[in-house]
Amino acid sequence: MKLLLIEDDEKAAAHLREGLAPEGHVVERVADGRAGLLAAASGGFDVLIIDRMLPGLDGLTLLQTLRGAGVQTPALFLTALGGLDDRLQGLRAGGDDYLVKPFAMAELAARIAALGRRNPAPPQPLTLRIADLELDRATRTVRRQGKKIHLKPREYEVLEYLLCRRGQVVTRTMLLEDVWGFHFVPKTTIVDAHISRLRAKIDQDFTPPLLHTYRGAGYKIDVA
Amino acid sequence: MWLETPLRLLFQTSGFRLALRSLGLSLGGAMLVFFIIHHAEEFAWRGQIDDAVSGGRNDILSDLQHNKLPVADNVGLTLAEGGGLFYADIGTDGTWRAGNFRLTPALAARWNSMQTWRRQDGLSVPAHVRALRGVPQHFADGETLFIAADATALLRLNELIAQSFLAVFGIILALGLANGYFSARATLARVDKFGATIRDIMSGDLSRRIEMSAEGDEFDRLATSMNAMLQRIQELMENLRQVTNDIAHDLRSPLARLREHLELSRTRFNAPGLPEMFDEALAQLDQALEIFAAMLRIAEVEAGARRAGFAEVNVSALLVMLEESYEPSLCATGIALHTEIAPDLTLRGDRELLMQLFANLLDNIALHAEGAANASITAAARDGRIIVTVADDGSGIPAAQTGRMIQRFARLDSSRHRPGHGLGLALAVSIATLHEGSLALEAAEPGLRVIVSLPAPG
Repeated sequence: MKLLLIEDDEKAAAHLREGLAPEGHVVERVADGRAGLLAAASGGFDVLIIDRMLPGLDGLTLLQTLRGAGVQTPALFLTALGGLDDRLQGLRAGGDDYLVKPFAMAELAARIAALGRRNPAPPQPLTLRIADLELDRATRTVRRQGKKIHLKPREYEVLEYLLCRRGQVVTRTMLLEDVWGFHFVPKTTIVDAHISRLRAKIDQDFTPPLLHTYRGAGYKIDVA
Repeated sequence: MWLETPLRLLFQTSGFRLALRSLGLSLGGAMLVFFIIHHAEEFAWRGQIDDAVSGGRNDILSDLQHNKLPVADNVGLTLAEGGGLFYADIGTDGTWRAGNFRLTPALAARWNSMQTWRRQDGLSVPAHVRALRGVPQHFADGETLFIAADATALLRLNELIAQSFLAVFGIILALGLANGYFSARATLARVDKFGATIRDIMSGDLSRRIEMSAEGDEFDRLATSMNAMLQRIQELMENLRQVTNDIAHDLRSPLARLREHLELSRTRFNAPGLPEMFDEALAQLDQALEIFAAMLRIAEVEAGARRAGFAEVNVSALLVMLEESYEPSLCATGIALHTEIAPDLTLRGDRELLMQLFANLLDNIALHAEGAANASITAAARDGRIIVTVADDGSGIPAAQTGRMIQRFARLDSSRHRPGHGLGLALAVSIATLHEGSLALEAAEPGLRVIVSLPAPG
C-alpha cells in the first residue's frame, strides 16, 4: 500500500518507515501540516497517517480541511494525545482510526491493513461465509457443517468482527475497542478467554481450523 | 411543608435576625415613651379632679356644721347652687336619699377611697358621663355621702393614648417585619449566588468568578477577596496541570522511542536468550507507560470536563455485558462469577468511564483475590441510589488497610512483587466521585466486598 505519513519527528518517522517496510508498504513522509495537506489532497494514497501536533497546521484542522474538500482517503491519527476527549475529537474531525503512542508495530500494521481494505468499503452481505462456517446476521445464528452453534452475544460479535475482516490480522486492542467499546486495556485477558471459548465452539470438532492466533500480533479467521 | 423550608431559611439569615432585634428595640422605645406620656397626663388630670372633689366635700361639710340640716337637704341645696359635681346620699339602710346619681349597693360597698369607676361598674349617671372619680364620706350615724366629679375626659385620654400606641406599635411592627423580610431576601439572594458560583467552580469550571454588585458593600469586599483567591488557585492549578502534562509528555516520548528501538532491535538479533531479554525489557517499559496512562486518565477524570458529556447509561445492561466478558477469564483461573442484577437501572453518566470502573474491580479479583473460588456482581436501587457490589471470597484485605487501598500507588503487598501499580482503585474512586457517588471497601470474611453507590435521580 502507499501510505502518506505526516509526522514532524524525524526519528519516529524513520522507525515507522522501517517497521512498515516488511509489510510491503511504501511510506512517503512530510514533516509539516501544510505540506501534508497539499500532499494528501493531491491523492494517490491508500491510507493517511497523521500526527496531531504538527508545525504549520495541526492534524485535526488538516483532516477537517481534507474531508471538507471531499477527500475520503482513510486516515489514522497517530498521536501522543490519549485522552478520551482527544480520541473523540480525532474521530469527529473525520479520522477513521485513532492510535495512541506508544504502540506496537503489529498493532499499527493491523490497523493500516484494515483501513486499506475499507477503500472502497465493500458492501457487507447479510450472510458471512468461510469454508463450511456460516453466520446469518439477520437471525444472529452461526452454523458449521449445517450444525447450529450456540454463541454468547460477545462471542458472536467477535466472530462477526473477524469474518468482516477475513484473512486479516485483528489485534486485541481492535477487538477491545470495537467489540467491547473499551478504550482502556483491562488487566484481565478477556479477549484471549473469549477467543479460546469461540475456538472450542467453532473449531474443536471440525476441520480445517479457521481461527488462528498470531503470537504478539492478534487473531485471524482464514481457511489456510 | 414545601413552604416551610424557604421561610425557615429566610428566618435563619443574619439580616432577618438583625432586623428583628432592631424592631424589638424600636417597640420597646415606643412603649416607654407612651408609658411616660400616659403617666404625666393622667397625673395632671387626676390632680385637677381630686382638687375639685376635695373642694366640694369641704363645702358640704362646712354647710353641715353651720345649718345642722340633714345630709339629704344639704345635698339638695348644693345641687340647687350648681357646681358640676356629683353627689349620692345613701342612708343607713342602704336606700338612696338624695343626689344627682345612683349606684348599686355592691359598688357602694367596694368604694372606699378616692377611686375612679365606670358606668358599667354600677353607676346611674346622665348619658354624657362615662365615668366618675370621687370619695365616700361616712357620717357617725352610718349614712354615707359619695362626692365625685366627671372623669369622662380622663377615660377618653387613656383610650386615646392606648389607640395611638396600638397604631404606632402596629406600624413599627409591620415596617420592621417588612424591612427584615426584604433585607433577608436580598442577603439570601446574594449568598445563594455566591453558593451557585462556588458549586460551579467545584464542579470543574475554575474560570468562574463571583459577581460584584455596584454598591461596594461588605459582600463585594468578600467577593473581591474570594475572586483574588480563585484567580490564584486557577493559576496554580494551571501550573500544576502544565507541569504534570509536561512531565508525562517529556517522559513518555523518550520511553516510547526506547520501546520502538527495543522492538526493532528484537527482530535484528538472533542470539539465544536475546528475544526473551527484549520481551522482558518491553514488558517493563509497558508497565511504566501504563502508569502514565492511568495517571493521565485519573487527571482527566478529576478535571470534571467529562461531566459535560453525561448521558443516560443503562447500568444493568453494562454490568451484564461485563459479566459475560469476564466470566471466561475468571472461570479459567478457577473463579465462578455469579450475578444478581436488577433490570433497567439507569443513571446519567459516562458509559466508558463506568465500564472502566467496574472492569477495574473485576480485574482486581482476577489478579489479587488469592484463593478465591467465587465472585459476584450485585446491583439494586435503594433510596434513589444504585448500589453495585463486587465481591470475592479470596484472601481479602485486613480491615485496617481498607482505607489506605483507595489511595494512589497503594499496594497491599509491600514488596511490590505482585502485578499492578496501585492506580486501579484510585481511578475507580475518581470515576465514582465524578458521578457524585462513592466507593467503599469492606471485609467480607472471607474476601473483599467493594460497594459502589451512585446517585440515580428518579
